[in-house]
Amino acid sequence: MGPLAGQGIISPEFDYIIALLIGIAFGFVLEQSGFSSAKRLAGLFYGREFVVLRVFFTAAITTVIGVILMEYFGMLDMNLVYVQPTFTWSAIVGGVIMGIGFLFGGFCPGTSLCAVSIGKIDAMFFFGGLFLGVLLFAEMYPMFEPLYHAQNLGGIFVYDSLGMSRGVFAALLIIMAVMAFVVTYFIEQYILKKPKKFNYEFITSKPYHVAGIVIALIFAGIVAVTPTRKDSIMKYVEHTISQKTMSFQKVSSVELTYLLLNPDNQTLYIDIRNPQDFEKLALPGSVNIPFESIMNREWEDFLGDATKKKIIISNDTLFAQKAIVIMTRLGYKHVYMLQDNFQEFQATVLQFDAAHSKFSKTEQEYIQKAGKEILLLIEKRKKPILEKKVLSKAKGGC
Amino acid sequence: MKTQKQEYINPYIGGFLLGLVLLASIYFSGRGLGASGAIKSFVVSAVDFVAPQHTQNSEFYQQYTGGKPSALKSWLVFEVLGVFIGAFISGIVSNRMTLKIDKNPVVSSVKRLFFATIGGLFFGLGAQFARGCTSGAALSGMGVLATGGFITMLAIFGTGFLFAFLFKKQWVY
Repeated sequence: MGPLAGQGIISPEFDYIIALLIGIAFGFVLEQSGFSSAKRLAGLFYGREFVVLRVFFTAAITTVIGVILMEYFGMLDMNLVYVQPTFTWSAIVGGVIMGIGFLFGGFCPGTSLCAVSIGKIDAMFFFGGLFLGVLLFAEMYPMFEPLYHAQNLGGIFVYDSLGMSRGVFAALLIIMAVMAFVVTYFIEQYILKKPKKFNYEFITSKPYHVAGIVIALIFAGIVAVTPTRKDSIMKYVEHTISQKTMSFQKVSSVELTYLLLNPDNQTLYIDIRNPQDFEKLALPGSVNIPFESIMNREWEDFLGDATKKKIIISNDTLFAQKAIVIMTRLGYKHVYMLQDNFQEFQATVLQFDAAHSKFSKTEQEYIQKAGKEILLLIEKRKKPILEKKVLSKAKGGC
Repeated sequence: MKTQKQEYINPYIGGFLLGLVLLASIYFSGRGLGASGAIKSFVVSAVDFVAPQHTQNSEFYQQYTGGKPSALKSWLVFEVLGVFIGAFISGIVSNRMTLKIDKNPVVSSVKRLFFATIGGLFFGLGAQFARGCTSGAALSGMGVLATGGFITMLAIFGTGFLFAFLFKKQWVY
């Protein structure tokens, strides 16, 4: 399963060779597509040349389709793929500055390098300018830093930002790209003073283009119905729970009490209740990961620690079981659940009531004492620590 | 004009191939393509070489220097080296090697080169803010459906269309 480099299947040294080969292919394709000419690139903004739009969007939808299908067929673990973090304002400001740079220079960094390579002197100056720009940023970093780090949304996906399903968004993107291709073709013909009539004869005169559009639309349909990892995990969870194919390791209230009072630094207490309940009362040292967000990538480092035991705290035994199925599926190890739910624990230990207790005399004494101590610990640490992973991965991007 | 156009491959085939290259990059190395990141590596290494004192005191350079492996030994530097080689091969194969300034005949060479430099400067600066350029942030970001990629793409091309009228003399000829 890809990516190969992230899992040690490809050594870091060999990854550099891959980088070189991919770069060669990248440069070759860019140059072959005519991206080494500033006039062709900047012509887009004047409705003269749509080559950038065509190449760019065809590449984008090809990649989107490929990524979705590779993920579905288990060829690609998106958790290991670099997804650039979104810093809204910095992304907008950077884009606007680059847009102006595009108009001044007629290149972008990658294309300018291609043009340098085939001997365009203007591209060499553009390329030199890039260094000045980066240097300017580096030297003025203290001034830019607040904007650079403003509004960090993490490695979020555009379909989540828009509140759509991934499939619907990807399908719409493909349809929009195809429409853009068709519309720009007619604009181009109009500007070249060869306006085409859109009729049956015209369609039959372009068999390859029509076939391309049909194929793109078929793929739009396919990606629209391809479930995301989240959807397929939830399906797996429902199946596992209903078929009872998994046994759950449990920790009793008394065992949990003992663990809480004798911290071993080897146990994580994962509270999957909602944040409101967690605010009201939570176990000392526990971390709130609401059930809905347990799959999120930000918890990868924290929950992925295979040396630690994880105990799931929940109001609802069914949710605890589901959480365990999800976590096991994600490859997290040593996951336990609180045998009785959190209310039970509260009643048994924290609000100890000897009259309803099923324990022996010595146990009762211990539980009663322990319950008070735990309450004291809770008082002491009113603000539980959240160990969220910072989402900007160190490597990747530009 | 017409004969030159036919030298280039069909843009849809070009785009499809570019998508495959990007997919290969994601599959093998778990990351997208890029260009501006390598330039940052060069700048950091150069400044560190010329003025090590300066890099030690700067928050920006500290992220990449000081006991860490050389900034030049990075994936993007190798990839960008590849881009240069790949474009060179393409230039030779398609007989497009030249040594000339591409410009509108009515624009002076000095002006074209000056504007190109300014353009590079803007692009270098903007790519830092956006955490990548057209390939690293916009294309690769869109490929994995990252929100930032779409924002940056819209900002680059939106700005381009919005202010294009100011630069018409440069590009329409």
